[in-house]
Amino acid sequence: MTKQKVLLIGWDAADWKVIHPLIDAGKMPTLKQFINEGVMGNLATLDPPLSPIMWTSIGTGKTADKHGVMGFTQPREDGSGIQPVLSTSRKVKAVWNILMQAGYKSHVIGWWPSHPADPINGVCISNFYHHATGALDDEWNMAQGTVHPPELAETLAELRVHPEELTASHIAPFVPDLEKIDQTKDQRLLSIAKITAEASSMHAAATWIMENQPWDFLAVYYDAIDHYCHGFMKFHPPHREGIPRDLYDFYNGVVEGGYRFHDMMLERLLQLAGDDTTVIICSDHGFHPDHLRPIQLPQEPAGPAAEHSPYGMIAMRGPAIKQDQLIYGSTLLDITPTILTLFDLPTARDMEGRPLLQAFKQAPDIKVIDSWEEIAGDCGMHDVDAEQDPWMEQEALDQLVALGYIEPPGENVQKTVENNARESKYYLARVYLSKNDYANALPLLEELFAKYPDQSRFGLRLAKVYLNLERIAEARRVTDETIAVSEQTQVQEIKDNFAQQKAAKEKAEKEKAETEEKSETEESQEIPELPDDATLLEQIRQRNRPTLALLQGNLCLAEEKPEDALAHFQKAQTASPRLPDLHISIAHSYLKMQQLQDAEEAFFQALEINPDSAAALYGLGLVYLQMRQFNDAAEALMDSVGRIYHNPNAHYFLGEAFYRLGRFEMAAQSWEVAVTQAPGLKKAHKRLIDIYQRHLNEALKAAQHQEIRDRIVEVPTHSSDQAVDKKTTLKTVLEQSGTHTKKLVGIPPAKIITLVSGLPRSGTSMMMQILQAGGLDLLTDEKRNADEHNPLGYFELEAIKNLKQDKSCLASAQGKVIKVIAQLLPALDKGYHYRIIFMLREIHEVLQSQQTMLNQAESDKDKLGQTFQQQLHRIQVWLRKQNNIEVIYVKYQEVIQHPLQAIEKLNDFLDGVLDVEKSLEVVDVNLYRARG
Amino acid sequence: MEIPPEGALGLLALGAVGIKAWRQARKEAGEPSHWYRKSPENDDKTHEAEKND
Repeated sequence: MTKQKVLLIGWDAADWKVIHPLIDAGKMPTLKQFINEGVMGNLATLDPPLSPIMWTSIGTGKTADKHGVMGFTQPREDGSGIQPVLSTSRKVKAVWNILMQAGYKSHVIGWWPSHPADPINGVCISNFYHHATGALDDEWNMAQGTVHPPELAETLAELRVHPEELTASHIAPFVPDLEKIDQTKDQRLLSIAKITAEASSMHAAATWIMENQPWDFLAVYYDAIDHYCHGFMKFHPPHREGIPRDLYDFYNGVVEGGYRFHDMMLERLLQLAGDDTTVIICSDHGFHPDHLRPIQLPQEPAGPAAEHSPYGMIAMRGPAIKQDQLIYGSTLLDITPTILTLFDLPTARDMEGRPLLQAFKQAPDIKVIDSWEEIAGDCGMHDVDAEQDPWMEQEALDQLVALGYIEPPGENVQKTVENNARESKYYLARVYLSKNDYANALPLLEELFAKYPDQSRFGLRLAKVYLNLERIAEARRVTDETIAVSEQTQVQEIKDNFAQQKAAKEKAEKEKAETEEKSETEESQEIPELPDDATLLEQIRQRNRPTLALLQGNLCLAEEKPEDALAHFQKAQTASPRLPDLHISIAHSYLKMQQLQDAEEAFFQALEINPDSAAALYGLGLVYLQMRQFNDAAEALMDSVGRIYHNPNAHYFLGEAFYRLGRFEMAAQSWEVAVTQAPGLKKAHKRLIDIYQRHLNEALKAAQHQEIRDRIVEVPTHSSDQAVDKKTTLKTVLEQSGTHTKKLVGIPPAKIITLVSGLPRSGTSMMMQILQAGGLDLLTDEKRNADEHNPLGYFELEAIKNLKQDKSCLASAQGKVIKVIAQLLPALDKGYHYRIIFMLREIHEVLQSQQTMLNQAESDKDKLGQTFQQQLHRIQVWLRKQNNIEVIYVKYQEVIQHPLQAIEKLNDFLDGVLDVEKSLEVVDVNLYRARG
Repeated sequence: MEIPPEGALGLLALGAVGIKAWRQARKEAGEPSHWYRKSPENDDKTHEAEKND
């Protein structure tokens, strides 16, 4: 095993555009020395730029469609609302799990999301660790699962810093004039204290572990820079119009103070790490500190993410790392493969990133395996049964509500959960879009647009997908519909505001008239008349003109009408000359019209607004290719992929530039990158076949690309990621059919509640009939009538559906039989004794029967089936641990095929109280309708 | 190194040792050394005792 140590430091939202001026001014001396001794560069972010998604991508090397963390929140398993996203949502191994398997000792502090803490071979501290929920005088308890191993919880809890512990001495470096601030009106100082205390807590935990525990790998995450920036970047110099001068004067040093504090903390971490450790500092995205700061944030969930810039930062230092060098084209997906390479471990083909080889002094030996997920052994992840897909859990819950087996959650809860599901789908669609996977993004966006036509963000992205798929008519239809709905929504908002203002004015006037205190000089402010709808609409259109013109122009561009497009863009330019991306669109119009110099000039204008625009540099490369200035083209395209590496077309055209320059190896390399990023890019395969045959004498590689090219179909299909082996999961339950253990010895039958349970449509109603015929006393209310799905009735008790909230119905069930679906079993009152007859049926039959009953489509049956199976497994594990519950598992098929045998086993379980003959009469083979 | 009871950003940046040193200095200056944590026995006197420590 190679002796190697790696320290990974996460600085959320750190941005070189803030750091460079501070380094130049001598205000971040530790980082300055660090980058002199190592490498530095931009780290391209991913879309959507939401921190839990991205830090999981950093920790796994995979995008969200694979790792499963899909936003800030997730539904609660019991359907009672939502909760912060948990570590159990992560479906794949993180780098610390892989390192544990490889025998290295890892510690993880505060990663997002990491609660409950992973049971790794080192210390794991979850992202719930540092949040103080009460005042200084309140108890500050720590949630269970915050620290692994739990025996360190007490020690680490002591190290947390409460915001109210901090004094003026801590805050003055951020706000020198803090004493002049009236804190009863302005809470910003408290906010600085909170952010600083939380960072200090995480830092204290990290340093304690480094001082007291052996380690090979340690990852620590600080969220403070992001929080300082969201609160105070608007006050960061230079002063902008619209920002109150007094507030600017107070708070213009907060962001700088935050970065300097991190520089001080870095110094301590480096001291403790030692020179033989490779240290990686990275951020998940940047944060616009300049004229690109948005004036207004979008009114949508996660709207503040609009302040993020697409470039995070990376800096690396260590024995194997080059010194004082820049690295290019890194993405946050590259961090995990790079760490694995540092430990001389293979990276994996199912990771989307690659090791940052340009950072190494000597090219390391790269090993690759298909997937680390296939490597067996303890890796310190939570039990496979605890790993849930919360969204599928929610769908399973919805299915149970629809089937009438449990009560729906309250209206607000339902709305909250629905909104979360909506955002999750939207984020997943954006993940697919960022990978140019339109086939998977399209159905999600179509569903969202159909369900929420008033949310223009869904319509606009859907239109963009149609454009990319060259379905222009649909793009135009969706754009027009989106604009129309958006305009109507805005008209209604204005009317509502007007009505509110009017009501408030009338109320104020009435109050004044009543008190007769109105002074003669005081005049109430007049509310202007509300214009008619047509005038309002025109005003809205005027206000939206630049954005609308940009949309219309892009549609014309897609329709190959560059002149019309240009006319729209020029209208937009007149209204808003510095609209982001406008000049890029203008330039593309000129490019299509073969007005190359005009195109070049427009791309330069785009770069003048945003010098880091990868899209503008890409466009410039296309212009130079057409101008046959191949050196300039290669330079511009390299600059573009150096900023945003994931752009298959940019790599493709870079290959063209190299080819024209006679640099065939480089051309082949660029085209290989293009097909790695977009395997369906036929034109790149064609060029590779040609170059390997004609210039590089590599017949085998040419043949490989020919084979791939022949296999490419125009529309990619959905990928299937069946994470769970269905048969294996089901087997663990089915194998125990007919067996049971005695736990209720000595309990009188009159005190035992007999439950018939299982998934809905697994034969529970048939079992109720068997028991009734056999002489047992059922507790039902017959509120649910028999129908064609259960011709003899459902044998249900309405009150049981609300068991989670109200357990009182169980009192009258003693000595009787009731039906309870499996998902409600954990809600049973522990004060009673139960015998459970647990019905098992092949999952596809259960789903088929449920879907027939609900008249549902079959599209999501596989995933729903997986979720039900995982739930069954968890319930079975839970049942095993209950001392007041005896269980017998009864296979539905066995009852049908061998009724005598099955009912005799059942009778044995029930201590011989059944009249077996009469029970046998009930078994009706016709009920077995779902099969065949 | 002199540790001011009112603390300093530099002490927080030192991590665990800095925080412990600051809390010790605070205690020696007669101020509460710590935020409130109930003892496992749910002893409400812990905090008062600390305040008066």
